Amino acid sequence: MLPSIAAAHSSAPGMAGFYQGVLHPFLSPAQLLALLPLGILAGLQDKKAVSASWLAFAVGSALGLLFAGLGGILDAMVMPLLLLALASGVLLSIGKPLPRLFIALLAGSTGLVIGMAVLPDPGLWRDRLITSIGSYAGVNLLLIFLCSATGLLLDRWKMPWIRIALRIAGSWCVAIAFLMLALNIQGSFKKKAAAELLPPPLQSHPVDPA
Amino acid sequence: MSLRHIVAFGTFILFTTLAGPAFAHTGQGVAGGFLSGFTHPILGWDHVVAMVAVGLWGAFLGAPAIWVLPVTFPVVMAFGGALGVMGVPFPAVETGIALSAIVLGLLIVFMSRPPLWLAGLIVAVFAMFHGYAHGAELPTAANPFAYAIGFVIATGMLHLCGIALGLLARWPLGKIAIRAGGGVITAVGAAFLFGIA
Repeated sequence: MLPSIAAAHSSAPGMAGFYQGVLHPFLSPAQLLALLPLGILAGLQDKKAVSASWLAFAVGSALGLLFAGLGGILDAMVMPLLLLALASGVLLSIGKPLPRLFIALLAGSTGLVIGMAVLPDPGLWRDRLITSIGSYAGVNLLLIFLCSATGLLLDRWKMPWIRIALRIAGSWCVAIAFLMLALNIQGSFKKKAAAELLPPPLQSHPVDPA
Repeated sequence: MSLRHIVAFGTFILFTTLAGPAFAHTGQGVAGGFLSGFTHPILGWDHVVAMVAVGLWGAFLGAPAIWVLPVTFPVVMAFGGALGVMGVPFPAVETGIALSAIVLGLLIVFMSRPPLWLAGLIVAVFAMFHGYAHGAELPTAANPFAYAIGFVIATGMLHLCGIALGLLARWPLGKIAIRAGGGVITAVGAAFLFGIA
């Protein structure tokens, strides 16, 4: 109904890539699923554990991006992400306080895998760098937001059902991650089976039986 | 709230429920996947009654069952769903779903209070059947991920409906209403089991 600006170009050069990077975790279901229970779980811990998990995640995601940028593993990040989502979801469902080192390790490893998963496709190095910075900012901001929102919710309202609701949300994350893992395993089986059923590759120079 | 306000509010709710959504798109992709997943448990009465029964029984049993049962159900349901996705044979799925409504309904009617582990086990066993039924449809969904989110959220919401109804147990008349609800759940389950519904 309301007219919007018709922009032939992005508002600032390079910003389109940055925004694209920021939005990447929101548009990638596996990344979102890994971040959601981790953020809530970290928000349930004491303040020192929250800081440790933020720091571990920031370092992990930076290392992941760096590793992927230097030519590390880029594909097949979905399965580790779903496994990490499953782990965070299970811990969230249980709802017990965790050792600081443990939550930091979980956040660091999730950051590492997400960092590897958010590296943009090959292209100009400048564009890739700007998009990568956007992705880095996006995933870290999302984790900080989830953590802070959970902490605020628990500080502001002392109702016991809030913790129950968060545990139920954790079980939903477990259920979704579990199903997605099953689908991915089934998909990889299908691919393997299809590859086995494929006829042998055609030879450019047929071999003379004689 | 005056009677006028109640009537106005009731009319508003009535018109809201009567209005059909106007879709500009066909509902393919993420939308189609989420909607079909979300509506799958809601449009099947056998699923609805069993999932409401889980919440209702949990609320009636009180803490910690009020959250243990709704946490157990989706996790075990996902395991059943995974079996469905992988195509692992699973016996008598529809019978198991119908039986879940009958058994849970009867437990509510008789206000049964088993130990927590047994209550969790009963719910977990039946969750496998429900999960398998959903999971078997998952690989063909337009967007399996959105479908999974949809049906997990819908399941959770049905549990919440049951929990909300279960809160009536605070009042003597509410307890009678809950037991009557258990009877209705059993009747629906029996209708599915004997092929009437």
